[in-house]
Amino acid sequence: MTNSQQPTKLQAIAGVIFRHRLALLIVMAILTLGLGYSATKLKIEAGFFKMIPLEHEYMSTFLDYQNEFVGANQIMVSLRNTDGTVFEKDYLAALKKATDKVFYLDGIERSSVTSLFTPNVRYSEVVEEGFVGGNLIESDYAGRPEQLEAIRERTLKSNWIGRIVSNNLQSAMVVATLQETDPDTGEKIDLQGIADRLETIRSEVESETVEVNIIGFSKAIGDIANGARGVLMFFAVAVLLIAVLLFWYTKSKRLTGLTLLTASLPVVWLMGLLPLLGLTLDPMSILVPFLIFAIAISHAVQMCNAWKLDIVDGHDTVHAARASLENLLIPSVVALAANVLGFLVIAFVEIEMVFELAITATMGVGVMILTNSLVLPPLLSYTKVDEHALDRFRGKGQHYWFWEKLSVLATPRGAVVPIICAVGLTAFGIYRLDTLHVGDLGDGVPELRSDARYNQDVAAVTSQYSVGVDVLQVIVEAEGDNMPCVKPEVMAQLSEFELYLRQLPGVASVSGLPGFVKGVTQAYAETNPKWRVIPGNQAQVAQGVAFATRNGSTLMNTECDAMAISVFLSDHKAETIDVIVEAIKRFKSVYDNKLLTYRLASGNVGVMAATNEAVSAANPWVNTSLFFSVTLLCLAMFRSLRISLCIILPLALVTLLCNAVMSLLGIGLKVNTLPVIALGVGSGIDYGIYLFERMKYELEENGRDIRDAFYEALKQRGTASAFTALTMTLSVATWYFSELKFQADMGILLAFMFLVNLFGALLLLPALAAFLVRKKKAHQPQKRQQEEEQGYELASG
Amino acid sequence: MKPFAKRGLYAAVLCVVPVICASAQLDYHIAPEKLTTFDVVADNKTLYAVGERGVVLTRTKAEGSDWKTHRLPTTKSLTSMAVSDRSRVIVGYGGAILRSDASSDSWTLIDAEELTYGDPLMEVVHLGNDRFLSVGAFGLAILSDDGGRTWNKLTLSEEYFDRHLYSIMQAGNAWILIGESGSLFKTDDLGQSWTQMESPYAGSFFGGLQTQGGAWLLYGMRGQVWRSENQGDSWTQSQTGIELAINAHGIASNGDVYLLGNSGEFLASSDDGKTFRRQTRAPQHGDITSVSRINGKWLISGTRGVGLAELGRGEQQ
Repeated sequence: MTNSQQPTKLQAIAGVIFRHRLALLIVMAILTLGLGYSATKLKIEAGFFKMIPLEHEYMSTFLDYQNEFVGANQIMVSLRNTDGTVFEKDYLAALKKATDKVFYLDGIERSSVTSLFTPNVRYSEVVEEGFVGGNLIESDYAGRPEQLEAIRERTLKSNWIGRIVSNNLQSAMVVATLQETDPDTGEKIDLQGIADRLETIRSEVESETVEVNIIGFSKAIGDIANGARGVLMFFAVAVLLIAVLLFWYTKSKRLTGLTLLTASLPVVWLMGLLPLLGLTLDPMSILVPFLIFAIAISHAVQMCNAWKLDIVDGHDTVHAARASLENLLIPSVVALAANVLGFLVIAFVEIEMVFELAITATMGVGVMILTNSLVLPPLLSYTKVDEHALDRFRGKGQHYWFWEKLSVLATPRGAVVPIICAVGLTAFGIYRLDTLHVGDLGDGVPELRSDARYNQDVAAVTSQYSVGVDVLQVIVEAEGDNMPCVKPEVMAQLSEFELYLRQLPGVASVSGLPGFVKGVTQAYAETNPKWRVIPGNQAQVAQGVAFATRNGSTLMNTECDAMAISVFLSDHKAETIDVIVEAIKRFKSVYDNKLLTYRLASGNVGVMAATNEAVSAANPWVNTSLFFSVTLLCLAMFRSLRISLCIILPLALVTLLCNAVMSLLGIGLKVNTLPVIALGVGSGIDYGIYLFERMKYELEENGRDIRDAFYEALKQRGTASAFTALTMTLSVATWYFSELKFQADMGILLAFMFLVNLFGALLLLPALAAFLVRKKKAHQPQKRQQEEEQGYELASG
Repeated sequence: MKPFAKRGLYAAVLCVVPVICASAQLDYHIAPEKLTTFDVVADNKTLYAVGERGVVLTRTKAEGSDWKTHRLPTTKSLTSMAVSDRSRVIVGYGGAILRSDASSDSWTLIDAEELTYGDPLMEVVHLGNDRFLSVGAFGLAILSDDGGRTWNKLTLSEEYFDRHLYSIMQAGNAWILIGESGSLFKTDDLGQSWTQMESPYAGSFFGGLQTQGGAWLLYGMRGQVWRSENQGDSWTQSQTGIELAINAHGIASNGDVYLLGNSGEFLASSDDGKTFRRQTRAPQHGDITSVSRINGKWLISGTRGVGLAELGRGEQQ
């Protein structure tokens, strides 16, 4: 199988490698051991600021005011009476129990605990004699009917409905803030431990008539972490699956072991290099090592297959290994370079985590070029093949009937059907493209599935209360030195803004200083609702603002020259956010003036909006530069626009279809899914490069026609390509069962890309070649029939 | 999402929330359930709800039609509206008075600054012919005899009086002003002369009514309801069992009296206001500000908007 016409440089490189192969293997082994040790020090670290587009306009607002309006790390434990209202003895006993349990959780800021039973929950009213007020539930509460009735009265008078008591009076919640560090130990709060203990509270309080819903940042993190534990299991399953398939394919324990070993090296090297370079692995990038492993398997299988074919041709193992290296060095390096490009272009997304992912993956593929070239061929050269093994390699002597039938696609007649199908699929892809969304399309925490318990709890809480977990904050800056917020004209304009925001679709409620001041004004006027207005004079506004200071800095900063208007959204779907953000921009364009400046955006939805916009802005650049660079790569390698088109067009179609699949499955384009396209193109091009490298050789050097050249390429590279595509598809497809939605989404899309790219290379590439590529003058004409007579079935499947 | 798709989506949503960029302000549709509304009235064809930020919502009496948004030439909150055959008058904060002919959609902001000094007007009623009466904060009471075009300030008492007046109640030929600290003023000559009445209660009344049986009822803060069978000479307190403010009333076709208040509290009496029973709350409107019976249904305004609802007894909590 040695290609005597290959450039001398390749032979020279292979010669150097093989002259020093033992030393090389020893050096590599030492390096691997060292990097393996270093890999034990790799830290998996999540950083909030790594996940946000810091350069984005919204995030500068967020950073400017992060210390003024810090989003508290709250937990909310809501209890719903499934058989009545909250003003029932048994229900209140459960609420009391939950309040006490939350109060004694480690890391809870005790003074922040808020429920009907805590002393900070009071009501006040104007009575005939002046002001009166008190706790909603008094200290002598014993569950007597008149006490229950009094609690109801006070609750209705208070402003706690919608906040800690649901609008339908069926639920009440315990709210508490978590501290950053445990005051006893001084260590960071163990969020997962908190999440576990909250689950314990749920199990202790829940009964036939009391349903418990728990939400909050720490609970979400805990549930995600629990899901992430499963990632390791999926790795193990995938590796096992690959091992079984490899053995089935190679019929050799030794080859299976060598392939797995070689594919593991770049992963070990990568994980060892990261700590040496002072880098960590982000939980959202935790899938990268596995992807590196999968790509490495793909290239190792090609190498082993080429080696096997040479052995079957009657050469010794050293010759076969060296010939495999010479034949595959260029296509594998070019294919890996395409992988690198695929990873690099996603760095266009201006989010540090994505940049880190790009760098991490690029490093992984970079070291893979070394390990695949320097380790596997020398190892293969030391692999002994006895007669028994040779028989297994030869298989049962079957002919390549499937590849032969498939090669008809490389004729003008056979190409018609695939090309018509491709045109149809292109039309379908373009049609679906309009429904592809940027950002999240589901409710709840996007990392978890919509039917996850946490997301069900989010839905339950947001449907019952006026508060939600999806908050977009607009910071309104007021000009002036001395508490400018108390000016009636400032309040009046803010009041218009609140009214405007309430009208927007997807807005559940709005909370800001104007609404609060109106409530205070009404309370001062014997709760007559006709006084629920912004007072006309500064002193009365100041009175309301003074009350707001008791809530801490949730509504305005200390100087009262910046006010946070919080918009609670019914969900954080991309289209909901888009519509609201665009509407706020419209308001801003009209109402920004010397008095007030409206700045987007803070809150978790502010971060999502910025991220969506960053992804949206980067997406065209990612796609354009990706295809531009892989096209250049193909042109450089094949020096033919026609061949490059044969490789690139199927890739482009598959990319288009991947977008269509995302649209069909309701998967949004976001930080987690954007790399999939890039990665899919980067790895999908492997098949085309490997096949066409062989086709070109057969066309130019052996003078075969297109069909024969394609058939020859299929015989030598097709089986390995098909095997690796199926292996990689199956292993990433298992991610579908992950508890983590982003892993499941990536699994589905990667499986689609891996598999359909293979179809593109096997079905559309030859069809395009039939029309675009012309046969060149033959050097050593041979007939396909002769080759068939010598052919062996190497893959028994 | 591709730019074209995004633009298409925005265009679609903007059909739902028409946002028309004007040179100085945005004009946008306001949903009836998302506006703080202070009063509801109806004329022959149209339902009106007046509310915050100078907004009036209208819809025809025919079922199923949508509420239309009207921004009047003021941004003050509008508290009350009265209609006659020839005129419509709306009053509000900042002493805002707006009028229009009944046949016109054009509203005029009346300059009454020298009468109101910018104090809020809380209620306006039509007394008959072209006469309208309005009351407000700090004892403000003004009268118009020309359909709201010009106004005169009324002197209710020889003594200094600065209590807020919240409501105007009709009792036969008499009209009674109701307000803060139990304030009650009565006129039998359509506002020409006024008599201060003895009040049974030191707290504030927010409204009142004459029942079909002829009894007078006053209601207000902390669930207070007082009843008189002798035109205010003596009063007895009706027990309500609630301590929330009562702000609005309605009389059912069978004579039942409905009182509605904060947090959607709903009381009903079937014995001419002697006793009241608590009914299922109507929390969707927030603190209820006004009720009007329309074709057997009830048009309710409140701090969480306006809407038609069924009210009825027999759903006691």
